[in-house]
Amino acid sequence: MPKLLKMEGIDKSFGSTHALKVVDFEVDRNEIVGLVGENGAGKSTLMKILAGVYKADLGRIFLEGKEISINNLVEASTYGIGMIFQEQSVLKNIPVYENLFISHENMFTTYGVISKKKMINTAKRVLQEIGLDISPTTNTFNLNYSQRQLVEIARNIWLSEVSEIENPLIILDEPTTVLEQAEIDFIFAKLKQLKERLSIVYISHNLSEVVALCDRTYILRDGEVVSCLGKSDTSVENIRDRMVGQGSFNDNEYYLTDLQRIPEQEVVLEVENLHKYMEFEDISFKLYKGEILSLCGTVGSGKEALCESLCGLRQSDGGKILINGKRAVIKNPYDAYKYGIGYTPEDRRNAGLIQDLPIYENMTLPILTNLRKALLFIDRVTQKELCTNAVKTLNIRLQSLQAACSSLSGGNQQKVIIAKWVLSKVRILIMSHPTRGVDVKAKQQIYEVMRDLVNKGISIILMGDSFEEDIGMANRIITMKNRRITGELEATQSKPAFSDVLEKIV
Amino acid sequence: MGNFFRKIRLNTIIPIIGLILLFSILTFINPNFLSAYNIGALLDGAITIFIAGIGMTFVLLIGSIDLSVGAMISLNTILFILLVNRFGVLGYPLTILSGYIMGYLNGVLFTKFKIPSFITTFGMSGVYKSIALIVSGARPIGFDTSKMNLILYLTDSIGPFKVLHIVGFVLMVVCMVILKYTAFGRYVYATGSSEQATLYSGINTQQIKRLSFVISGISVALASIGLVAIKMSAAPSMGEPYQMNIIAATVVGGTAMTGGVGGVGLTYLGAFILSILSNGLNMFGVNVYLQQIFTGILTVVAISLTLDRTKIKLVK
Repeated sequence: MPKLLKMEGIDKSFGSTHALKVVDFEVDRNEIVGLVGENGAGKSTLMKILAGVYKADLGRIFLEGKEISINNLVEASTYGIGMIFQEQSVLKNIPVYENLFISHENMFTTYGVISKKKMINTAKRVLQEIGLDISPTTNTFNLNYSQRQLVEIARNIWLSEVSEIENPLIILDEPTTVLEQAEIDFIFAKLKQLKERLSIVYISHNLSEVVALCDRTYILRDGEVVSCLGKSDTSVENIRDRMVGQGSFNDNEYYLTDLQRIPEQEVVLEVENLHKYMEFEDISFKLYKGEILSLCGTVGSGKEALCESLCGLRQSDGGKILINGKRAVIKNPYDAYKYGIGYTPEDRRNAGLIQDLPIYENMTLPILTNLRKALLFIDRVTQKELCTNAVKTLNIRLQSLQAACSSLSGGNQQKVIIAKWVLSKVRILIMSHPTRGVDVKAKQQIYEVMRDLVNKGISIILMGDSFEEDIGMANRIITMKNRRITGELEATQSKPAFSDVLEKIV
Repeated sequence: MGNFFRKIRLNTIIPIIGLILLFSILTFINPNFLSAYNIGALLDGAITIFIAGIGMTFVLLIGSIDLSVGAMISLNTILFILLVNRFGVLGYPLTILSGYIMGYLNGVLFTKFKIPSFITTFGMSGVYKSIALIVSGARPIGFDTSKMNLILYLTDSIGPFKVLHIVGFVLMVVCMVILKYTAFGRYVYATGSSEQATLYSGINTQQIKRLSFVISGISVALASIGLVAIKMSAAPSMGEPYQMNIIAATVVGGTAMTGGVGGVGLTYLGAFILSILSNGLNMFGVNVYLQQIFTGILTVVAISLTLDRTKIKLVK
């Protein structure tokens, strides 16, 4: 009997990024399959191909031995394949039963009119079957996150019933990152029950969860399956070892460790007991002049929220931020800028740059008010000079400073954002995934620029695109897990082992 | 990049071609169209719309809209006459101050309380209308004969133009320069193109937005003074028909409702096109009641040409 699902030779590129390299993947009936790997290893991409969000460049998908082609989410659902995304797709302002049957209401008509009664009765049965003890007429906003997840699962089960699929396949993308332990226990018990009638692919950063739950575990690294472990072989250590790349983060040339400098003694930023409800707790650390400090942690560890509150994108509930020894109150991004903090956001296309404005204006945006000559006019000559110099020092490839930013490649866009902050003379630069989605060569150039910045005395807080990048670039690493700092690792003299870092974050 | 230049070109070229076409057709049909008298009439028709359109341009450039300009014109025309009657020449700065206050109120409600601008300004227009009715006693009002000379000079002729037209032209040039050559002007475009990226660059976008509404308020006050100079009277609902025409002139000129694209010079063209259109329609004896149909259609067409649909959910 053929396996329930077989993906064969799946290959996918996004522009110059090779996200998946000829990946094979299998799921059997009544099986929970784990899928682990670092950020950007290709887990989500692989599953999104299965769910019809993306289309693979190469490769074939077989369902019960028959080749199928999945072009969108609706088609996937007719094969009984459904993906439950982290950012849930239930609507909160309608009752549960309406969420269950949304866009399929016309299956419940009596004389052409949608029958609420029929829907509620079916909903009752569906919810009972997965053992979710809530009334179908409850408004969805009364449900907690895990209950909403189960509603989505129930919807998928019902959909596959309609398509007469015996063994549906449900993909869960990091279902537990935002949950408290009690809710995690609840959802795990449910998943183990549901295994009797369906298969599950479980994407997670939390290795102990994967070990506890999964029958088999695939480990992805850089778009390749490096291992597939059976139940008896899985252990947190075993998986972690396999997630580690072969010493690439020690590669002097790649991360230009030769250019690494020893930070100065001067503290530029000190955070004391900073906290924000449900985001991060009890955060204290120091940042030194000319230092690259990496914040390592998985999604939901609180590092993103912490950085955002340092840049003024959200406010913390309490605690102190000291800049050059003086208390700083940062309520919004312009406060942050006044204190000399710049931010290169992860979403550089939309949040980092104004695509339609010319490159030189993007570069000088924060300092336009300082570039005044008589009568408030912008001093175009100085403006152009500054930009030309920045283009030279950062080695930005462009046709003309007057061109719109949208004409630049990803790496060069990132450099324009960096140039913006260099021209603004910020002392602290918070970089979120600075090398996301750029090719290897551009990555290296960005690393070079970063090394250069710290040489000029700028301090960088880095949230790298991979933990290797964090380790390779950092002078010091702060690890975070479950909204708290779990450790601090020295990385100037010698680089810590990947597993040492991983141990503290998963 | 292609997209950017395509938008720019469409925005500038279509209004200019439209203007030339209208001019040529109307002159061809009726040679008197280009007479000095008619040019003056055209400018009279355009000037109120244009001056208020300056403010509307700033507001649309940041991606918002001001639905209170009509009511603000009603109130400011009345206030202007009352203030001049009482305080003489001080009525000018006081009217501008009242425009400033109204614009500031709109701006604060919009930015502080995060209410979308079309709702804020729509609500405030009710407030301004009411005040206009109350202070005027719901009657048309005029100048005291002794104060007339304080206003008549605005309609003095310099060649084919009136002082007023030249003031409008100077305002246009000043605002064009502000938009193009000052930090504030660039921030207006930046905010309209991508508020997020502008904010993330450490710029106080709230302040930029508030200032844009203040400029709208002030330009409405100036437009009201111009309107009073032409009509020599005010009535509590005099501004209402201008609401649509001001937005129409701005978008027909080529300023996009989605923000970030357009300019004051374009609004000047837009106001002219509308004025010529209504002048031409009058010439053909088209019923006044039907004329709004043309303006309306023209507005919709202009909006559909300039709208950046990738930003559509940001229209506020």
